[in-house]
Amino acid sequence: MARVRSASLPHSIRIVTDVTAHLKPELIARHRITVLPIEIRFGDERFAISLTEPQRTRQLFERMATGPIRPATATFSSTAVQEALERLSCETEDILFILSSGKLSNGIAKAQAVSRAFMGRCRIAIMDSLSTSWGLGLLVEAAAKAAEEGASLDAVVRLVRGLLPHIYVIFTVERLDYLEQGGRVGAAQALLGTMLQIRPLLLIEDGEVIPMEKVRTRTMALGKLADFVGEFASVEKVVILRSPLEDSTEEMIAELRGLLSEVLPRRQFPVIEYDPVLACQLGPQAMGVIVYEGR
Amino acid sequence: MPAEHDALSPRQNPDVPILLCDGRGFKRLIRFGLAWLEPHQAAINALNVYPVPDGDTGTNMLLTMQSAYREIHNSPEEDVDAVAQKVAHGALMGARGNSGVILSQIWRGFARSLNGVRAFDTIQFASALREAAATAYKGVIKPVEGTILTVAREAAEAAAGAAASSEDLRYVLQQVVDEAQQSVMRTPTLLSVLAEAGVVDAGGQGLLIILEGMLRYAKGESVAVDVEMAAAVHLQAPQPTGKEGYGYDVQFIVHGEGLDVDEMRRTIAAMGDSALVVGDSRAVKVHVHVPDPGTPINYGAALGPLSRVIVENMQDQYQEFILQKAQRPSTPVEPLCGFGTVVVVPGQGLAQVFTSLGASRVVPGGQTMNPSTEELLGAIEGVPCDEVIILPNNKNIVMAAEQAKSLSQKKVAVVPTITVPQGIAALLALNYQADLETNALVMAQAAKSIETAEITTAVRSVQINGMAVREGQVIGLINGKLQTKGDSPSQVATAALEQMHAENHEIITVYYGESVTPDEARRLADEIAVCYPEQEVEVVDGGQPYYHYILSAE
Repeated sequence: MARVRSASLPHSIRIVTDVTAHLKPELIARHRITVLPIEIRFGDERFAISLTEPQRTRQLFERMATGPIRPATATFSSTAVQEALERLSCETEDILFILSSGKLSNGIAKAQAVSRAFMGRCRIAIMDSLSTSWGLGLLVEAAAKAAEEGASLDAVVRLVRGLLPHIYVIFTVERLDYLEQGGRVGAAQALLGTMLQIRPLLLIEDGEVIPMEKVRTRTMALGKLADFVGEFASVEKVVILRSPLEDSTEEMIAELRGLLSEVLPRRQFPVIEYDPVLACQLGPQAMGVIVYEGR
Repeated sequence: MPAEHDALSPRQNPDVPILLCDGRGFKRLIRFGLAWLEPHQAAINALNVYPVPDGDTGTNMLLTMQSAYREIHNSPEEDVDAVAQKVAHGALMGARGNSGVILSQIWRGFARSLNGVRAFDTIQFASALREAAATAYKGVIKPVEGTILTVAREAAEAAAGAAASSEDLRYVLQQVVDEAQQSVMRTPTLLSVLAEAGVVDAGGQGLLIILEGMLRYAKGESVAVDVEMAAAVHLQAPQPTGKEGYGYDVQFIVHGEGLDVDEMRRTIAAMGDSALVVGDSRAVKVHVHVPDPGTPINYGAALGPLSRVIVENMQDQYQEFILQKAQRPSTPVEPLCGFGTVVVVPGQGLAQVFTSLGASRVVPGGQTMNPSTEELLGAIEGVPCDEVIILPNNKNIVMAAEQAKSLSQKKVAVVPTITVPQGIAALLALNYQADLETNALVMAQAAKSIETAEITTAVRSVQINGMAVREGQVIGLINGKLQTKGDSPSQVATAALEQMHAENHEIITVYYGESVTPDEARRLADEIAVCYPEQEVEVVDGGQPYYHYILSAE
């Protein structure tokens, strides 16, 4: 079968990300961004999450909240990566992957493995976002805009790399058992079996879940999230990350909003759901904030 | 040997002045100071203004002196500076409680002043006492008058005055003791809490007793315990629990007429282990291991005057042994982690709480609930980390912690927590991503941000903070200050919560001690939940001795 290079703009970079990226559909369409699906393996159950099946995310969270604890992992399919690369390599010479943190899922590894076969045919850059959902979306959006303006692949990579250290993610969780199960909590201190009610504060740094201090109550934990935001000299954006589950989440959001307004008055605090990849580590009942420091 | 090199000796004619004191003489002075302190231990403990069962000054000073004496017990040193150095070292390592630490500072200054001296005369003795007092003051962040510091200073001043006019050490020591006595009696005029309680300062009294013992040696008197004193002084050493009980190593000689050695042997053997009773109808030597040293001593004292009384805490000896073993590196593969934490905790349950929160090393309080400097240092060195944070969790342990820090090569920070809940709050605030200095600040802040109440039973009657407390009443200390009293632990606990304004906090935690059953604890928790519907209430089995409940509101 002959491969025909379809007409394309010179230097037009095509971006590949995954379904956890928080992106407006218009943006995806306009820049023709490829969105890879993820499969969440929850014990022996499978949840395939793609753009066309967003409700599976909610099902996963519900399942995590109600049923017995299982180890959960996020996996990418090599086939999906292969198909995307085959299609894209016909359309462009520059392909940029910006994916969920390689420490929380195997996306980066899969992309690297499959890309090897395409070396020589096109330039492929694979970037670890070290981040999640909104952070990942921010990086993709910035890359897409730069590409549209004609930046080279190298320049876009440099741009994205420069943004990475300015995105901070901090969480607190209601349940400790998922943290223990996840087993990828760096520098872990035993949290379960503490005999005391404990809420840990967790930083997502360099793509890992890192425990910081601990507090005793929910209000204190939310206060710590607000304190964290307050420590920045300048903040461009603060986004609240919530669980898709109802129960007490609404109250918590209201409480957190109030605390954040004291720290950053006259600001909006949009709320989005955190993604299933993070849920594999933090469980279904976490709440956090993303801070984009700006430059 | 020329007369001026004669060691201090009681066999000397009291009319002949004692010009010099060498190493051997100083060793005997220390031994007599220690031996005189022993029977006065309980009386000094009874002076503690706070009628709480732990951290008693008399016992702490005694244990500190015992540790000091152990260093020189078998040493052949002739020069007084060498002996003084060892005494200072032993006191330093064995220092327990704030009074023990200050006492160790006194010996440190004393020894430093005598550097290069083979035998001291009155002038050197006065200088040493002055340096001793100065070092003690320097070792305390906020020196308070009306305490052992004042007594040390005024005794040193008396020594200086006496040495200016006399070369007789016996005379100078007498002036020192007389002045120390006056100084102790003045302490209530300097510290109002003493006046209110109607006592003199315990630490000052302890120092006086040690000096008195030394004077008795110089005058050729014995430090025997006479019958009246034994009766008046209940030797009330708290019973070590089965878990800790190695007990005491007690030795003494009973003097009398018609002593029945066999009868004594039978009686003593029934009191404990490894009994050794030898002698004749005029003098019998007794050596036995017992859980309560009062038992054999009271028995002996009833038969006749006692001499050469020695009481050693065997758990100390055991812990020293363990310490030697622990200091040898255990597993060379242990990675050097970021932060280690050393926490002092009374009780098994509480120890588990701290361990489950990630504490690296738990140090038990020991018999007086005050671990020695050496024990704390051993814990610091035993943690496989370069940076260590200590949580003393008791006002009376902070100084020993600071002392251990100064002795360690590691980077150490002491977060001055004075209650167990403060320690928990501090440990929770530890952020492994931040550095030591930041953590020390943040943890101290977290400790101060909570309210603690400790509920226990008063061990003596006393007047304090405008309240009259009867022995046996249940008392409540809020953030370390005695503020409520009542008839039952539950009643005092709820009263304390009111005074702490628990309604302004979010979570109330109840740690129940070994004197309380889980059912009683749960019942109290239910009552609390009813009074404070907006607060969360948690119940934890702390298993702590002495304190029925420890409560926190945060």
